[in-house]
Amino acid sequence: MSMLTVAKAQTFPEGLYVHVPFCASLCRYCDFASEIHTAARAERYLGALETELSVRVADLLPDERFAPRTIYVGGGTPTALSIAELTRFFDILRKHVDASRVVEFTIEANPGSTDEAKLELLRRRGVNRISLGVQSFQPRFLSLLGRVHSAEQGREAVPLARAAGFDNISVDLIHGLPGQSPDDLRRDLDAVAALQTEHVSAYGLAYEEGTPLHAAVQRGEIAPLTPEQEAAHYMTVMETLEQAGLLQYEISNYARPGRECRHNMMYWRNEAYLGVGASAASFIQWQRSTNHEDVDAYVEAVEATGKASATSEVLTPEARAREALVLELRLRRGVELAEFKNRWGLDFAAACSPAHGFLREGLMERTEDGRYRISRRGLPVADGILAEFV
Amino acid sequence: MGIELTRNFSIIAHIDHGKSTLADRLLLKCGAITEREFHNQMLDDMDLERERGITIKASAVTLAYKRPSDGLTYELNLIDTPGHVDFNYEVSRSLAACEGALLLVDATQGVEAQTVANAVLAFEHKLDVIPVLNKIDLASAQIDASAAEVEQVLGLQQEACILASGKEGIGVDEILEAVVLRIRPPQGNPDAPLRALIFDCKYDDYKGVITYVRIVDGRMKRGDKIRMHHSGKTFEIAEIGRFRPKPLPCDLLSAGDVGYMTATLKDIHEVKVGDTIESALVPRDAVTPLPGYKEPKPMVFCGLFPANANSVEALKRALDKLALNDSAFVYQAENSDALGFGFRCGFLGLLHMEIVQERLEREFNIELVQTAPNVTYEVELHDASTALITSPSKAPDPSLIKSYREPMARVQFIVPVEYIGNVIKLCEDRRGRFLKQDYIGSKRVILEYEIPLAEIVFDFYDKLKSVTRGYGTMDYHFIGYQKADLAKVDVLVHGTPVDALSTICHRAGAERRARRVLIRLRRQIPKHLFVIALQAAIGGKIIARESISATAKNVTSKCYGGDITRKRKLLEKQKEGKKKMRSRNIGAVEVPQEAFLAVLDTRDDEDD
Repeated sequence: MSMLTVAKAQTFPEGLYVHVPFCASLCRYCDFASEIHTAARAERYLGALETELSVRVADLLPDERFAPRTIYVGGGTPTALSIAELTRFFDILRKHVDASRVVEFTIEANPGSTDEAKLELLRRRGVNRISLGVQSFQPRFLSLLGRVHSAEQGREAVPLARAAGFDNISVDLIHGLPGQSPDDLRRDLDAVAALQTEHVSAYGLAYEEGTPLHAAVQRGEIAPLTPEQEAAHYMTVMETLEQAGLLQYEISNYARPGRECRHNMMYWRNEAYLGVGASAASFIQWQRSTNHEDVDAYVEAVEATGKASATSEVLTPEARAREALVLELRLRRGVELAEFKNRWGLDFAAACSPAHGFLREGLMERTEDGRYRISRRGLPVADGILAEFV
Repeated sequence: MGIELTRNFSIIAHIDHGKSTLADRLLLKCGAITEREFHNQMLDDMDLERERGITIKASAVTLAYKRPSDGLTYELNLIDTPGHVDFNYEVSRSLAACEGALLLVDATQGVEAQTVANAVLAFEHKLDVIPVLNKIDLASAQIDASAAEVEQVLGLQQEACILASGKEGIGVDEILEAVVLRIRPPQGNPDAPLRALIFDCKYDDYKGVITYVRIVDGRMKRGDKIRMHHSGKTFEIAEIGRFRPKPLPCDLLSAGDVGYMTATLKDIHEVKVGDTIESALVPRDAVTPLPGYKEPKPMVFCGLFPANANSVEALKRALDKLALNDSAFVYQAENSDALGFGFRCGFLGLLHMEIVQERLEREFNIELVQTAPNVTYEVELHDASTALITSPSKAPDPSLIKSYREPMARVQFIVPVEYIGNVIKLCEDRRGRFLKQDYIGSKRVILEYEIPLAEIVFDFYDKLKSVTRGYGTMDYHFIGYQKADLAKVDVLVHGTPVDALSTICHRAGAERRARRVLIRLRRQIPKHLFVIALQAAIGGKIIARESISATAKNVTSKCYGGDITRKRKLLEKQKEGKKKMRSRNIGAVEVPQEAFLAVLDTRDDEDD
């Protein structure tokens, strides 16, 4: 299959996501595909990962090497892998992927697991962006979340990464924590701002079903903030980070100009990508497929068939346009009508009559260059708005 | 059979005083029904009537009474009258077809407001009135006191009262004797040109429109060409007959007779109760119509909307069918921004409205949203023209209106003395004007008030019952329009007027009423993504306001490659959930159907 044919159907995947499901310990709020790292399981997993990557890349491009523009290694905690395992991991990538076109190569890391040696290895193997799961700078919230690292480690991780040569660093922060006062939040935000990173992802805490934190709320051991308090925290985050020069470009993401995460932008632009590893999602030729989440199920499927897709769905033109709309409206740049129509064949104005009501209520707005977007006031209730567009 | 052997009479009574049972006793005695049939209330043929213990539509039945004393067979036409004040005009037409009436008084209750109203009607028609004290078999019967009331309140001699029990069959012979002896035979000239009074009509699936007639002069035969005096329309008689009690065709109806007629009529609205049927062979100008004709005028209106928008056609068919049998019921299509397509319906009164609504739901299985009932208003405009308003949302702009005029009713109450204070307070709350007060003996009082009809159609009867522990009774009749300080109150949901919630009410009570509506709306409308303003306004002036706070937070923080499908499904579910909720869009606000129902609920909630 030539590139042109694929391009006609959908832009060719330019991003690669690789999932590493291992962690040093499991966080109490996390519902991602992850498990405690052991050498044996990592060994088998990496084997399966190599198989899947080779098969999927060959499916995509039988005659050429796959040369993505972005690579994102997420988890789990990819840096929970040992130096030896990481080395094997990068060898696998190098064997099956042509990294010559890569402009952004991100890895997720935890403050507790990023020593100088690992950081040096990452840099050496081409990783140029690191996303640090700091989450909070206050011990009581770190323990509430079940994070293994200390507040100190969180603070030191950024200078450590800088010292290793990373000039594109992101930190993750969680807000809306139970018992978190406006002052608590401000202290975390000040600490983040002081780190002078290029990028911040700030997530409102979600109590996902099946997590220990959710169970604790159900048992009445933990009292979540009220929706009003959570919304107020979110507003504070947006305002404070902006003052620190970190411009919001997506519901939960902030960056210095030009440092937006390219790989993630691809998701929100509904572009094609290849994802490998447990729970990884791919979007190729308008088909969304997701691998088994469970590591055993993933490994067994790959060992048996070379692939591990658990669910897949081909989107109709209407569905993909609506999905694109919902995703693009997460972005602060918003949606430009003519451009959107040209790209998706969907007339925003006609399909999205609810927008008029939202504009009138100040939940959506038109930017100076005429793009439609969810206003800052609308962001805390973005799902309510987006639900009208699906 | 000679006219001198005919008697035409009605039974008039307050609700629940046992009219139907007594009537059935008379039918049984004269062999019109069997013992077995007696146990069903023959004259009332709708479930609803039986349940409510009232007669909605008049009926007539011809009884053959073989009088023991002279061996002659008399033809007694018993004309049943509707038992409720809403059908006052129809009662008066039924009475106009008679020469006499049995005035039934429940001996355990005494004279009640409707007894008085009906008796007054009977006297106005110069009927020979025979008082009957019913339910004398009950231990609680107060025969002497009731007889004294009959004399004091109605001016009939105590000694004239016949003691009876419909349930036990006591007094039936005496009543039949009295009908023959104390009610005069009909007058009228069988050789004069035809004049017949229409006192009722109904629709029959087989025979079409059945018109109930009392021949005043002349004769009626099959094939005769006839004309309705007021409409001027002519028809040919298809069948004439008498009810025995099933319709039994006959060859001739002549002066003094009561019976039915079918003609080449398709629509019941071509038959007007109170109109005169005359021979089409006689010029219209040459006929003097029978007196007292009135066009049926609906006094109370409300909007009826199907709860499910798909049922509009079914509702229309049901209304068509109901109207076939109810010449006083009117309706026309109405489109409400808030409630969609439906119908504006006019009724004689509140009970009439309730009956129609209940029949629609019960017999036609249509779930309804009913708007608050309103009366008909007259407005005088600055350009000296006047307009009749049957729907508050259609009222002209306040700047065009010089003044409002509202229908007034004269209301009679009979209440035990201990409740006078409560009833007076109720009347004053409802803008009533005191007219007079008379004691009946020492225990009960007749009170008379003039009260705006609008205040009566709104839960007044229930209120009276509650403040008198069920002992108070009332009757009212429309007496004309009167100027009043009224205003149209609009309800705005987030700046958009909701037509279905507009009301016309007295300025003094407007704010309280508006606040109640807003509070109910506030409780019913779910949170939106924005703060919803609820306002009530007269013209441009806001008289009450409430607000519904906005949803504070509803956002998915993380949405990357693996989350997209799940996220989309989540959003679709949210949207689906909203769709399932039956609601109407008022501007950007989705108002659940239940909200309208709650707002329109006329029951008082004291905790507001």
